[in-house]
Amino acid sequence: MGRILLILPTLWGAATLVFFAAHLAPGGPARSLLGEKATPEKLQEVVHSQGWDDPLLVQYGRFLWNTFLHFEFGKSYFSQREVSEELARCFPATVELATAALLTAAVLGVGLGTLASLKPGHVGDMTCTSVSTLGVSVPVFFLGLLLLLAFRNLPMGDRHDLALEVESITGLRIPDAALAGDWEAVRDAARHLLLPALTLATVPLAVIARMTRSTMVEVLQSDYIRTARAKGLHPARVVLVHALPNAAVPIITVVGLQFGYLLAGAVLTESIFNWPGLGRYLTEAVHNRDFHAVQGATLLTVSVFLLVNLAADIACLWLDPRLRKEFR
Amino acid sequence: MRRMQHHFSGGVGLALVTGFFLSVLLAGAMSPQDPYRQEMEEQLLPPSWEHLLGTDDLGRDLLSRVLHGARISCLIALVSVNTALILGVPWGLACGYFGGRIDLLAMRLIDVLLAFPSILLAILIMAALGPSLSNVMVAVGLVHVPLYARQVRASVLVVRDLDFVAASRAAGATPVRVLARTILPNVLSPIIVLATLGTGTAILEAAGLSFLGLGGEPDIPEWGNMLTTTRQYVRTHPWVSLAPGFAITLTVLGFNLLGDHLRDALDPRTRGRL
Repeated sequence: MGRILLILPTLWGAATLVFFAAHLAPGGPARSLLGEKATPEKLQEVVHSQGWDDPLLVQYGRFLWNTFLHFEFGKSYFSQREVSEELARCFPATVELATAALLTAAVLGVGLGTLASLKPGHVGDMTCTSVSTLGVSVPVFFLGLLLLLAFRNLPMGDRHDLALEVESITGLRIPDAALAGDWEAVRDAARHLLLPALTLATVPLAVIARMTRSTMVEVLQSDYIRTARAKGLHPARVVLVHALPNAAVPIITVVGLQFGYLLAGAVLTESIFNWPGLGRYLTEAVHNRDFHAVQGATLLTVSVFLLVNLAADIACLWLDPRLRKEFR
Repeated sequence: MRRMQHHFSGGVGLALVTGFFLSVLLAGAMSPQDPYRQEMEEQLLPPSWEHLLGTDDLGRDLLSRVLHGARISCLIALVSVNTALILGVPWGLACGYFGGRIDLLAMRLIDVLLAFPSILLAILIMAALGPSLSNVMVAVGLVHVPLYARQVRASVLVVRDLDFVAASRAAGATPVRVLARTILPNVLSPIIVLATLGTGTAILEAAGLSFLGLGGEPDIPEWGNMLTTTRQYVRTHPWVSLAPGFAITLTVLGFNLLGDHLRDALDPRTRGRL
């Protein structure tokens, strides 16, 4: 319960930071929006229309009010549409990408880490460790380009073939196409998703594999594992049923933390693959210096990150009764 | 076996970092050409004896650009790591030593800052400052401040109540003197490790921001910038992406390996085993 309450001041802090960042801009938000050559009249008009001539505290109060009670961030200066509507449009694309990447990273990471932990110091373990060291050093954007080079028959970018239209129900392309029963569109969407998801998954995969390996090495040395082996249980059963659940807590925590990396990495990945999600929206907003859009996209990302970590914490509590005691 | 592997990876790290600093120092002498010179007849040439890494879409020699890119990355690392050190270390020292309500407040602020994925915070700062290479350096530095502050604070808490600190205080040293002369030298090794690992991260994050087009002028031979301006050629003329991409990867890998090695070598708990 305490953890859930702690999220609120953090969100408030993040909102405050996001608000004042816009006012840190040299010459204020209107000047940076219109550029150096803006006429004083035009400047005045924009300042007035955006409410930037009110006292800072009034603006701050209004910002918090609109953000937390109405989930509104104001109008985008460039498109003249509500930022919250635009965010609702591009958020599902990022969710689809991040979910695909997280699933890939978690499944492969836990799998490889477990395999490496079975024989510590063995060739397989060494390979796993070296690959994961390399994995965290390769920049996401270079990795994306390398994958584009390696898989030449997969599309260069975009979310789907423009010729294939399906009705948007969930906003997630693959489920939508499947619901419509259009298997060609499902295949097309999967082909478009594959490289961005792989690109985004690599760093979390490396981190998760490392964490799994070190936790599993420890768990496999414990007495109850020796007991389980002595009972003559099948080795696979010992590892999967007796060891892995006991190593789950640190692994789940790290998976939750990696989701933040995924959201951040999505900014770069979406830029490489021209993926119409939150990250690309944010990048464009920064280029246009469209502050309402920047504020909305940043706050949405941070909130999702905080909520996912909260979910990971709750999952750990549920898995490990010892933590529950400590928590109270 | 582990020890050998460890020395090996530390050695690889040192070699890569040395290579990086050599190209920083010798970029002028080793570059076959001016990294900005465009030759319209020599666009997108594959690697050859004349152009060891090939040329890019504007006919510029890639080897020269990658070598000069090392200088820019070095500058980025210097500026951003020093920004983080200058702001983060005193912050952490003061919080850890004095404690109390200000410490609590400062730590809450750090929690908020760390709730942002780092590149997101950097982008937010870039949105405020506007796109340019010098702003990239400042943004990356500012993003790292909370990390340094938290690490330094944690280390200060360990030594704060030890006898030699009490002795220094009893001898009448002012808090600033105690912090600078007695405590700082004893928390230096985690700072060194953090700065080494932070150098790799800073280069990586700055390249990421440049890749998003926030690094200012597109003709600057910054590695992230080079990747983003030529990325449409990755399938047809892969060398234009491979050269700067491997330059970033190897540099970051070098600093990461060296940092890991330093951490184990400077940590008294593992020193005996090395």
